[in-house]
Amino acid sequence: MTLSRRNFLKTSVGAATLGAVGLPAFAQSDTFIVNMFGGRWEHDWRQHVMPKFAEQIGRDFDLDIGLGMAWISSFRAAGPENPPFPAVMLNEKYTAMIRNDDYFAVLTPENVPNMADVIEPAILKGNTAVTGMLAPLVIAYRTDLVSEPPKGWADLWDDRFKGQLGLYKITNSAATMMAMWAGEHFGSGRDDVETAVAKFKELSPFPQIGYSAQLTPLLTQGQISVAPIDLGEVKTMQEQGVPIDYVVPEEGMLVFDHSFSVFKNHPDKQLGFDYINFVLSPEIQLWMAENWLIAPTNKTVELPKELQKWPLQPEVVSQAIRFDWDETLAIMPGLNDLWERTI
Amino acid sequence: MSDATSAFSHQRPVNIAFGILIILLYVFLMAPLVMIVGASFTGGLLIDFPPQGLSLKWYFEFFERQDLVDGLLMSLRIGAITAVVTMTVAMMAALAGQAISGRLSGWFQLGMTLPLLVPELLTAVGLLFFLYKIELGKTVVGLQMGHILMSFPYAYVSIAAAMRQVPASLEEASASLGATGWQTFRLVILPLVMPGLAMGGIFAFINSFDLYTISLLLKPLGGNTLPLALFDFLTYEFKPTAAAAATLSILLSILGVAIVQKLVGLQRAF
Repeated sequence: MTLSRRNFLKTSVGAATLGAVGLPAFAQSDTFIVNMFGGRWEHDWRQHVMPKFAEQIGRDFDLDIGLGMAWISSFRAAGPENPPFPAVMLNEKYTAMIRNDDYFAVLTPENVPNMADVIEPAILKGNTAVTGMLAPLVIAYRTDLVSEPPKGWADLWDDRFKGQLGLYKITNSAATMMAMWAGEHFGSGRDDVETAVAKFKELSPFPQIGYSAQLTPLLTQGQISVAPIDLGEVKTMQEQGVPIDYVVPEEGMLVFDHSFSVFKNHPDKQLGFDYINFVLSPEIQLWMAENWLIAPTNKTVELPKELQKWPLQPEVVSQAIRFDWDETLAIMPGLNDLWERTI
Repeated sequence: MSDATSAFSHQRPVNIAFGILIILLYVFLMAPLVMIVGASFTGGLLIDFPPQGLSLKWYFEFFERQDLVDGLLMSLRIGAITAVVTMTVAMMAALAGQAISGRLSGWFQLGMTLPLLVPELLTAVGLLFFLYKIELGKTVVGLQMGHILMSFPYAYVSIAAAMRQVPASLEEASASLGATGWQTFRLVILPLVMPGLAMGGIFAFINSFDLYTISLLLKPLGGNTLPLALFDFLTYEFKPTAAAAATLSILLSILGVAIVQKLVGLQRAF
């Protein structure tokens, strides 16, 4: 066969395809798998945290990257008898969706020794989950665009912030928490969704953003000047030189509870307990505080001097406004529907 | 003024209007691509157009991000297998479609394109439960099956269209000259439908490369495709690395089309 340009191209394409195809990893039975959010969370967890645990248990590890609803769909399809991995990290909103369906083992200091040292609000309903990553939600503002910063959540309704706000979409648990707070503050209670939605309608128009990292560009570019946001995003912006500061709302800050649970029917259940114990250890809790501004839920963690200025202390995060997500899930369909139709 | 000149002068504004419409259509189609490619070269910290300064740093960052590179490799792997399998199966289906006549033929064509008619989310949820039942939930094989299913109609439509262009008399002539069925297929039909086959493969690959919903639900434990990895990335880091990844995806698609052009000639595929 002569080596024509066409034959060469065909051969190259074939070789490249074979190289790209490789051998699929069909069997991963010995790999310890847990889930994690994507982006920098995955990157850091994979690079800095999981290798230590993998060394501790003497097994390879991998991360299942995704978001709450996709994981819940998968767990429901798999059923409680056949969970895909031994331990799971979820926003408490999602944990509550399957909490009562007999998926989770009860967490106690006997199977997770570091549970003995966590703050009381971190132990979630029926000991089925423990908050291992607690992300404070504060109000951030541009120091160059806001002359009088807000003091609390209620100040967001002040005329001076009209048209300058950025908020979360109602599908984000932060918006759900804010709506419930508004129902309680302005109306008859947390389930007063009509009042809550009517109050947020007063703030419109405002950009509605799915995730904290998508609020960051708007604040950075000055398209908005005030927004509720993850504390970690504030630090990131400050490090980039954005003139930004934050307040801990006087009514209390909100928090994202990223809770950890063990699937009771997974064959590696014991490794699941060990993993959660590892996440709750002072070493990992401190690492998360230093790198992500995640508030330690382990009371024995001593925050270094440079972190003292941030609201991460156990006594501070223990004061955060908290919600019963079983009750919240019951309210959410009506709230989401009314929000989408109104705002 | 003659009738022809009058007709031309009346036609001219219409032609200009259509010309403008076509230009606007191209702008509408190309603007997102231009913006995302432009944003990938920004020297700034945010996805922005026009770019703030010029830099290749986001491309370097892309290749330093293991999560994105792993996503790219998985998408390439899944897409390549999808293309090969769908080309083979769609070719067989198109041959079968040719052999079916009458009303049954219409139903057959409809059946082959069903995955396009059912919402992707419903297909994904159904497949997720089905795959767990057969113990392939959250495996590469399960994800691959989903991609093949969703990409099959694109390959089928392209190949079936090419098959319809092959005169039946050629098959009869081949048979009358003593060729077996396999020889007729290999030496007569296959060369004639090759452009449609290649185009079907490219469509299947590109469709597989872009699939999001089905991948979200079926992705294997510990694995991510590029669209999923990009969405995860954008959820937590709104940086131009995503624009660099998108630009590389666009380049891959262009490369695929260029290969088809080189191997079989793009003009023969349509």
